[in-house]
Amino acid sequence: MSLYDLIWGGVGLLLTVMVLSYLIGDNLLFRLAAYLFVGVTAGFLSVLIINQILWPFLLQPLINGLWIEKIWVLIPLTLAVLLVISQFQRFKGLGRVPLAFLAGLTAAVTVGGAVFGTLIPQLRAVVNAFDPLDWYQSPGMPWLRITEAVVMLVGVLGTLSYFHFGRRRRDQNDPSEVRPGFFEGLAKVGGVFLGMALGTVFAGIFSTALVAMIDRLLVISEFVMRLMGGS
Amino acid sequence: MKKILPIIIACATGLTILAGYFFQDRLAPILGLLINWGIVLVGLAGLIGIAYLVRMHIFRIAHRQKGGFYSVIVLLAFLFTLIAGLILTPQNAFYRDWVLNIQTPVEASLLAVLSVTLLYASLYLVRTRGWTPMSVGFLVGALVSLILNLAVFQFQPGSRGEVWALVLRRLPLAGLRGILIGMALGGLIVGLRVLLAVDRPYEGE
Repeated sequence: MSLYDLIWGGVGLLLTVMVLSYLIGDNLLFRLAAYLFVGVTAGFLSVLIINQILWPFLLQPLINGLWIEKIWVLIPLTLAVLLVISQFQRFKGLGRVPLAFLAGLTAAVTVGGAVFGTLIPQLRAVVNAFDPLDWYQSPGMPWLRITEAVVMLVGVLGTLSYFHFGRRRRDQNDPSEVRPGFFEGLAKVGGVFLGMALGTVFAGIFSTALVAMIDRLLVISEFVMRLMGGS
Repeated sequence: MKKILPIIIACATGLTILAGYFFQDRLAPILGLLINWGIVLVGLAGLIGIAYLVRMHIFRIAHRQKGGFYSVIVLLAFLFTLIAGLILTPQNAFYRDWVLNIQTPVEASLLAVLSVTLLYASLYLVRTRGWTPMSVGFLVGALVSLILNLAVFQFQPGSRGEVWALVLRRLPLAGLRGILIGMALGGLIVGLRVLLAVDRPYEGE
């Protein structure tokens, strides 16, 4: 093991122990590691933004580009200058223009993504499950596919009903509000499906975290073994 | 004019991008341009955020506030990483080692701490919320998923066991699909409200 590898291995080991020390309670070592991480990440992110975004999209065309590129780049440059200037209290109002541009762009991308990326494919998957051709694709199992399609439909409707907050008052004098009976029943079924979905997501995250824990313990043991001359 | 100009910019930008979904061939160059400008602004917003973080830590040191020592570490690590990155470039071997040998152990260890925290939180869930249909669904979903992922049970292809394992794997999809559709509907409504200038988040207070 070279000295260079030894130093970086030692740094990794030290940081691992410092972070894992949080398991016995919040302490100085954990905070040191966390603040070092914040500083390095902020610095690295700044370098990436400057190198990968601002330089190629803004500064390079302005310095080395053709005159037509220079003219086009004046628009984002103006927006960028306005965004920076608006951070000063006196020029706060100038930030509206770049923020409006960003809001319009984000809203349109969100609408497009929601419709073409999520709503249409997901709804199609729910509806396509009722295709009789699909039921008889694998012999001997049509009942299972029909059941699955129905369960999927009930689950999706139930989950959506769980988040239905449109309520009506029972009567004028009663301030308590109730969900319509149909949605109330579906929402109860949806709660079970929602719980199962969140449980599965939880299991996925837990498995990943557990693998990370095992990996860290392996790294520590391997480093110590190599340090002691073992294989 | 002060109020109308941002509305015009937001609507024009949004509608141009939306039109690009339908007339991709004709609007592709304009879309690319608009998205590049958006990337520049988002990047700059990120830099402004980092500048605020740095300013806050300088303020803590200057006013000798509690935790000033940690702020010194943040600033030293930030300045070294920034200056070294600008001089050496992110492709440099030493620079990559510096960033990765700090980020990887800390991130992986934080994930490891998360595993213990998650285990504790899942047990705490039943204690605080009781046995509701949702908490039962949560525990069943988590347990079934963990057991299936462990691959303890090996089923013959085409056997009943394999079919049931597949059904159990697909059951949580209903809930996930519901969540996705709900999120998409929410995003669609919020997006349309911004495009129609019903909501104007860029106006501030």
